[in-house]
Amino acid sequence: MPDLKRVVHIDDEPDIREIVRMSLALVGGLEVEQYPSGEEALSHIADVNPDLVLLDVMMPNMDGEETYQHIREIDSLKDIPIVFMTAKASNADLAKLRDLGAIDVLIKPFDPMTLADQVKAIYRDAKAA
Amino acid sequence: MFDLWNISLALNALLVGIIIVLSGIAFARKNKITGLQEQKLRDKELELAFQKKALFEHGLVSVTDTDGEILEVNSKFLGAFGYSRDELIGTSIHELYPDEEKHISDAIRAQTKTGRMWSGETQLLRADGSRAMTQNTVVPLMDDDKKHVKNLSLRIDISRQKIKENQKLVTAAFDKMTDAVVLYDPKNFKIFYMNAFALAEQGWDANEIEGKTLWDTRYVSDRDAMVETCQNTATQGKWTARMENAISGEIYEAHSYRVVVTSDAPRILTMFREVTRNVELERERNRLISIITHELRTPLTSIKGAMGLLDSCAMGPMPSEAKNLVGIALRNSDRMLDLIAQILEAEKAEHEARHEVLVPINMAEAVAAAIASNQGYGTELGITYRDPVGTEEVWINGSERMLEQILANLMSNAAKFSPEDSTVDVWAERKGRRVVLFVRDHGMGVPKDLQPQLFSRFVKTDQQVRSNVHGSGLGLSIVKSQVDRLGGTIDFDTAENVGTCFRISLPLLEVDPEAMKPGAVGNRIGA
Repeated sequence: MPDLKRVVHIDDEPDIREIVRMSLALVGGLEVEQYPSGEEALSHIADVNPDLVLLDVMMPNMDGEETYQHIREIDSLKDIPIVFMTAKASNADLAKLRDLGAIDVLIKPFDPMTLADQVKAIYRDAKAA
Repeated sequence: MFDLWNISLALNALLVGIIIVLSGIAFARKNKITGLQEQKLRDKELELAFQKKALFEHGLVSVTDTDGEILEVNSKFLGAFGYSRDELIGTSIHELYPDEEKHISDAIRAQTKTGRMWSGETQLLRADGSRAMTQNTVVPLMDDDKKHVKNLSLRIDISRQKIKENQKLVTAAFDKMTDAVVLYDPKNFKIFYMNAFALAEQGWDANEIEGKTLWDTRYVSDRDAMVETCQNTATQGKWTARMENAISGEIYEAHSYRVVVTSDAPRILTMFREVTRNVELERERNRLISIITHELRTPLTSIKGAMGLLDSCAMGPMPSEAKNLVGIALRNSDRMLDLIAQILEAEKAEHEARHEVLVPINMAEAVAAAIASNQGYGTELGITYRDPVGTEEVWINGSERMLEQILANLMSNAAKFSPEDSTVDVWAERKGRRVVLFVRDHGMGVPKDLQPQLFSRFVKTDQQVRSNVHGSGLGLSIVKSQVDRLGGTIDFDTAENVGTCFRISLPLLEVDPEAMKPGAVGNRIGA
């Protein structure tokens, strides 16, 4: 089973991007490509060819759900594991995201010291399924 | 034109007149009378015989002995109440009175024994168990020695008259309402009645209701939803549903009740209350809360994440003073996150309380379960929870989840403010038509200045703040909203350094205990 190596992270908050970068790259040893919007991510993501996408839900213009749909329309990424990150943690919100097809939802705030391990575990489970 | 009341009065007057004249004739015969007087008496007797015939044909007549045993009833009486003659002769009239009116039967017997007539309204049970309202006149009959030997009772069935009177009162009240009230046949949705508000909303005159159905009104566009409401109302007696008119966009809360009038087929009365604005406000409020919590959580995620990375020394070692400062920032981030979680929890509790479906709950089981599930928390604080009276089986209409939340909040509060090695008492008792749930501690008591606002949000005692007792100050406001939803009330007694006792009074649910046992077919609920 291939290990998780490259992650694309999409979030409009620069501070969150910085902490996620440190968590995944410095603490977790992963390659991380980050984009501040769905639009920007979509114009590069096929070239990056990531193993997993971490996707913020509430973003201006193109939100996480719309970005998710567009990523799925890219042939090479139609089966890529996509994990949502959200601060809206009601059961209804989480159910809606899972119904959309996300393999998991991570709740903000997250623990920066264990974020990489969490993402790796989600990836392993997705590949094993 | 005579109505039932006039007939009743006329017949009662006739009955009294006959009795008086008969007594006069008997008195005259007893004393010596002339031939002319004898002729007059005979004429009078003929007239009376005619009047008696009229009386027996129109009134419900019964004759009892002085103890109430029925000696004779006329056919009108049998027809009105549905009994056979054999069923009644020899039975005590007392048995035909409903339980709560048996004292009237006693009063009639007592009064007629003194030779005085009794008149008033009484209810009698029909053979099918239903009740008939009667205007009743009871005349004591004396023998020649003026000894009381029998009672002659003349009744007029005024049930329909009473129903009409009540209907007039009810419709007068409905016409004052600012909700639309509609009475209709659940089989074909044909409308029988609409109150003034509903008529005005439709722009109809009362005479225009004839031939109209519920589908002609502005309240319903989703027929399936209305049919479902009628089915639920028919089986459960009452039902509340929210309906949106797809065409107008108006949203109505429909409170429906099954109405059974005498032997007519059941009808349904629905009160439609327009809640469009309320629903919009509720949606807006939920949207705002969602945005606010998101907007608070996002910067906190950054703060907590940054501090977490520093604290773990992932970025390299830190001087101990700097680590302390990072620790302070982390702890306070956690406090803010906890507060956001509590606000969301309070909103969720309020939302769920509004939409929770209520079911019969045995309070003996609820109290025992709460003590068992909260004891772990109590033990951490050196508190023992106990039921000091051994709560008996009493039922309420409630929700297990809401009761768990109510008791968990009150019990954890009680433990927080109690000295170590003390007890917190939790029990429920039946008080008339209510069930009262108690949570009593032996702690510091509620400070006077806090008492009036104890059930408001974010209320904390100085002691709580000083001693760093955990809690957001939302617990009791959650309890209050849950108790409101259950149709109950909450209050408390408190004394400084003696303790506090919270009392939650909830409507009692009368149940058949056999039917509530596991495996029983259906739950039979009385009232």
